[in-house]
Amino acid sequence: MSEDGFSVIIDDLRNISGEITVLSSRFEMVDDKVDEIASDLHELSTQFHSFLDTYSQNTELQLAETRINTVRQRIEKEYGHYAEVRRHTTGILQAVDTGLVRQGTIRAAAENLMLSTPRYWLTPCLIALSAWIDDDKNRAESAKLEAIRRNDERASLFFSLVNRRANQYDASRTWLDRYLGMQDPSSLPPDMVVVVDAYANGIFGPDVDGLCLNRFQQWLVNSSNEEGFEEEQKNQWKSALLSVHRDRVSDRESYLEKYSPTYPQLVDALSGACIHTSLLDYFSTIFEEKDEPVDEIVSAVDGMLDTLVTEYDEEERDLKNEERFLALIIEEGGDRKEASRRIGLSQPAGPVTMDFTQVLTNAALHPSVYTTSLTCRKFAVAMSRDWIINAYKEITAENRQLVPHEIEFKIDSWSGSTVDGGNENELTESIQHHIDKEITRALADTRLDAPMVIPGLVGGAILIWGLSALNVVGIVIGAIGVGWLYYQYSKMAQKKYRVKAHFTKVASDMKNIVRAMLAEIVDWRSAYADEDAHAQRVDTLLELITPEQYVGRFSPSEKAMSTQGGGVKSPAAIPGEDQGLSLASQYPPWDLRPPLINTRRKSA
Amino acid sequence: MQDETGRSGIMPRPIITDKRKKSVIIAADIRPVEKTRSASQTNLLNKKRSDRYLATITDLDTGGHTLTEETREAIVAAIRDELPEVTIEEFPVGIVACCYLGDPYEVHSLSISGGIIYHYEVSEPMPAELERARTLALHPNYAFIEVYRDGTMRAVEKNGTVIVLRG
Repeated sequence: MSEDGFSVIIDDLRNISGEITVLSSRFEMVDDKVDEIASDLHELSTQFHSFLDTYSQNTELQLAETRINTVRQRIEKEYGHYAEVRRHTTGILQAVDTGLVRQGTIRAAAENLMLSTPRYWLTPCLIALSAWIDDDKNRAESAKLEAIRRNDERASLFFSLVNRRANQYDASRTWLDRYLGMQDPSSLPPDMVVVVDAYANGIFGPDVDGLCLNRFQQWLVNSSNEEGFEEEQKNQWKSALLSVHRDRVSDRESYLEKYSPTYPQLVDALSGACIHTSLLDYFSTIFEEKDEPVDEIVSAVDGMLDTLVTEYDEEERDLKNEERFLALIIEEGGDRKEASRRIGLSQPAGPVTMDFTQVLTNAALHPSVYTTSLTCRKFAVAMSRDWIINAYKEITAENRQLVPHEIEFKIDSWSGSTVDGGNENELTESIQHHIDKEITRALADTRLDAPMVIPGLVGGAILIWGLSALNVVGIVIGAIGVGWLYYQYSKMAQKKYRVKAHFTKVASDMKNIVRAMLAEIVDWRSAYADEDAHAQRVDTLLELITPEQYVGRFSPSEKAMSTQGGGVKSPAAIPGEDQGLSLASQYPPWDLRPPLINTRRKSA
Repeated sequence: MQDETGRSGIMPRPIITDKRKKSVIIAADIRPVEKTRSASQTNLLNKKRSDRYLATITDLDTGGHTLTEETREAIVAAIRDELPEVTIEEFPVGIVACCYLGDPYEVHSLSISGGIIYHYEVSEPMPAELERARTLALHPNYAFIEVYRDGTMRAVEKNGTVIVLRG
């Protein structure tokens, strides 16, 4: 091909290259456009989803606003009178407290409400209360029976708490027992801790006839019949008692630590035995400490009455919950998820009931968490006494089992043992025997062997020959040989002496160590016996505790007063009485007692 | 109006109580408390031992190293009377008690099936399954220790109370 032909091809290639460059730049432009479109699409998608969310929330908001009105209308229509009864009950109780409202006004208000709430349990309670204030025994009795018919459990608690406010303690306790009789001890309401605390503190008056105490004890007896119950209680208390344990073992240097394989067992046993002192201190502190004021418990019991008369009834609850949820949706601008989260937070998680033993255990072991009083703690410990004793006996026996019968020693290759530290001679003889064997073994290496003896013997023979032949050279060589033998013998004798001296010292040191260890064992056994002896004191302390000792804070004379006609007690005798003395005068001298009919217990 | 202490008695208690204080007490109660029921059955062997049973078992020091057939039968009868619901296979494999024969004897063991009573000296080792009961048997709080086939021990106090120690 000619030169011109090549140049044409080169020009064509240049053209193609230029076109490729142009195409490439156009592709880049297309890429940029595609990215731009993708970005626009993403933005559009975001805006669309945002629009959908806003639309959905607006729809939810509108629906909630419409629905909440319907729900409120239903609540007002179906249960509006209930709210009125609740307001009136609070108002009447306050009116009675202050004595500012005439009895006729109270009676008229209560009777009007009775006509508008044919099913609500609180209304006849209100009638009974107004009749009581009005000194109208017949009307009070009828209203009381109607209240019981409508809701026995709530009415019983109401009358118990109202009687307590009126200082009618015998009646209050009788109603309380009726209320307790309707409870399932395996599923008690959360404020039962308050009831037990108040009962133990005598807020319901002194339980002279042991009415409620018998009820509590019967609950425990019933629970004890369940399989595994006793074991479970014992284990629960065992863990609790072990957590009280404080180690008091000194960390001073000890030969036993170095030379006894049994030492860790000794430490564990003595450390475990310190639990007796710890528990003695623990229980003594609880039972010797003076009871603190009970004002907070009185407030808590009044709070129960407050809650009882202001909380919604079961039949209202669904509508009230729905109203609350709808209100939250409105608050959150239609955000249903956020509203669900908030309503979930406002409702307690997990079980809201507990069994009676949990009430006792929580009161006894977690007073700070459950804000129970010291008196309630004493009462709970006393009620749990048998389980505590069982748990304690098991801890004690397990610790005693840890005490080693025989304590072993190991010093280098020698080993021995003792039971009570009384075999010192036997042990020192054993050490001597062991050392003697060691000396024998060590001296076995210190005999003169042939290479050391032969030159001496040859030298001796040459010396004898040299002397007999008067050969000077022979005498000198022979003397050197004999001298060599003497030197080797002396060296060996010194070595034997050193070995014996060394082992004699070793034996002496070992015997001293063993004597020291025997002394430590005697001390240890004595220290253990001292700690172990406290067990009897703990046993005695626990055996003497009875629940009856820790119910109320009343002297026998004060108890006697309370039984005389169920009248008003001395203000100094009843916790919180000083605040409520004037209230008693607002009520007639007779009290509202429950009828003598069987109570119905809630099913489990 | 004043009460005997001179304080004003007219001030009523408010029915609407301090919500904050109340919530401290009541709200704490709704904390969930875990509760698990043990499935293990009530153990008949854990019943408190009678005085008669205690007397029969603690009276073994008076015999020699071998029980007479009569004594052995009396012990089996005592256990049967004490624990009528328990089969002979569930009886203790051995009973270890402090020995009151005096030095050098320390403890003795009773093998019910073999009808043998063995008195051990202070440094004399016992079979491993009985050795575990030795220290407890020597403690003055316990009358004797029953050792069972499954490794469980029952320490019987002098008043008959039984303490179970798992193997």
